Amino acid sequence: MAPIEDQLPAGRITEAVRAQQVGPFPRADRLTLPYWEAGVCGELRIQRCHACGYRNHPPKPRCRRCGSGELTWDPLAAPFVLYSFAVAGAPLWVPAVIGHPDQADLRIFSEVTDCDVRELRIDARLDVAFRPVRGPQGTPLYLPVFRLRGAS
Amino acid sequence: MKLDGVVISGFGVSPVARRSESTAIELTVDAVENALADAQLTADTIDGVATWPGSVLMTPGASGPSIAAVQDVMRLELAWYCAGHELPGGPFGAVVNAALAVASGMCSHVLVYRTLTEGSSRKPAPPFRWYDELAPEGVGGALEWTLPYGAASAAHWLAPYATRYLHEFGRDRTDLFAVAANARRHARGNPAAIYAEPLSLEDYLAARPVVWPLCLYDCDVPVDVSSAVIVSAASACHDRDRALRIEAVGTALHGRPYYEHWADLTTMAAADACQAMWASTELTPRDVDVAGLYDGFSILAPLWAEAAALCARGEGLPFFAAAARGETGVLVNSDGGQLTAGRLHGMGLLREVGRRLRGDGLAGPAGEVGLAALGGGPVAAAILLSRR
Repeated sequence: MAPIEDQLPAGRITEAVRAQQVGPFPRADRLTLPYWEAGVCGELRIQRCHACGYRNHPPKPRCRRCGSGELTWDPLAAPFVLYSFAVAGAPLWVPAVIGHPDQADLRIFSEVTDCDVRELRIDARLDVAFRPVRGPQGTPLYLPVFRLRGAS
Repeated sequence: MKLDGVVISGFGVSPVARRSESTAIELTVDAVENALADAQLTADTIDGVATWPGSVLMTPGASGPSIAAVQDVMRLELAWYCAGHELPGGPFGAVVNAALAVASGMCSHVLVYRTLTEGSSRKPAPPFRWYDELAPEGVGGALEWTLPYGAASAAHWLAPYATRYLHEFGRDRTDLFAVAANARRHARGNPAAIYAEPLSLEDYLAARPVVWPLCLYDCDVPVDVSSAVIVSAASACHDRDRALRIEAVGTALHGRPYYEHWADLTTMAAADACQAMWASTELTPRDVDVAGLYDGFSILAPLWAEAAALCARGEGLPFFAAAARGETGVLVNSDGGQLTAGRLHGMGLLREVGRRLRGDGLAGPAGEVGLAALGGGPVAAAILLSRR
């Protein structure tokens, strides 16, 4: 274990509290709405190029790797990986940069919720969960959030 | 990029205060007058203005006056002017724009200014949400992915760089203290420093966390200040010996342009910028005598030291520990940096490097080659000054 995690502050984060502290809602336009809606099925969906398989995030009008305009919204399954994180507050929350083993350059900005802060570790395996919010004109949207795999 | 015959002819700064009575335009006029005096120029010789960001909606106190406001009060007759929020290295992008305008022959003397009133515009108690006014229809663009979680400040975006960096290189907050320690060492010689008293490791480790692993003393000090620089054609300068030649600049961005999507959080666009800068000069990292490495957050400064090849990868914190003991060949953040002298947004570091090279700053001359570097994450620009 690297020493920096030994210096984590004490604290517990619960989703019930975090869900009360929502920021402004995502604009969720034609291009980004599928990302914010996908949680209705309990899945994280990332825009994927049908031609080359590359996952584009944030979503693009054409694949940033091969240029194809054939883009789909495929689920991305756990486990996710805690590439890096920080501890903000007060009240405490954990901004996090999430990675995935399927694509080395894929990053998702989110947070780790329902955790004991001192249990956080770089490269920890994560599962996705969803925080419901109201978007434009009351549209139901779902912010992906992450939990430590196997945590209570 | 060759910038033959382009120099920095003058630096100016207003008084620096946690809370000034003066307005942003008053501070700016003060800085501009000081820069003109330093360059031995009068306002009627200024034929260009460049700034970052110009008059745009930002967090309170972050943007400063428009070029129009400065042009009007100073009665400038301009051949060219340019403000923009999307420049490499923020205000250093404005310095580069000015250098290009001079190199092209379009201008002889370009005024660059950067004004902040973040000291007196301190945010009200949390939960202050500056973005609510911006986003009645929801947030779009780059912020769509971070603001809905409440990640509203650069501390939220850059603290994960610190965590990943410290993790990968087996460092901890005791090692990170080296950046603040070096700053405090030099702050003692700077009468304008906000934090001039010594800081012990114990006090540093016990300080209030801002966004862990960054604490209060890892973050620069919000102040009210204006800085000005005059970029000139060497041929148009009265005192050619005082002018500082812009040897090279680095403004490259090759990686992804978002804080959270930068592929390797132990590096920054700083690496792209420095690589481009060193490729355009015969000088090498070993030639640098004095460096101003951006320390808006402490973690950025060792990453800049590594990007500029002043030390090896992963050795940025030992480099700062040696600097704090006065054991490096290069003088680093010798005015105390932004961690003690206030958030001048890179312009204080540039001025300090320039004055050390001229030998008329806080201390005697410090050599012939100076490096100033500004930015964090995907934002970066470096400027190499030389008297050779």
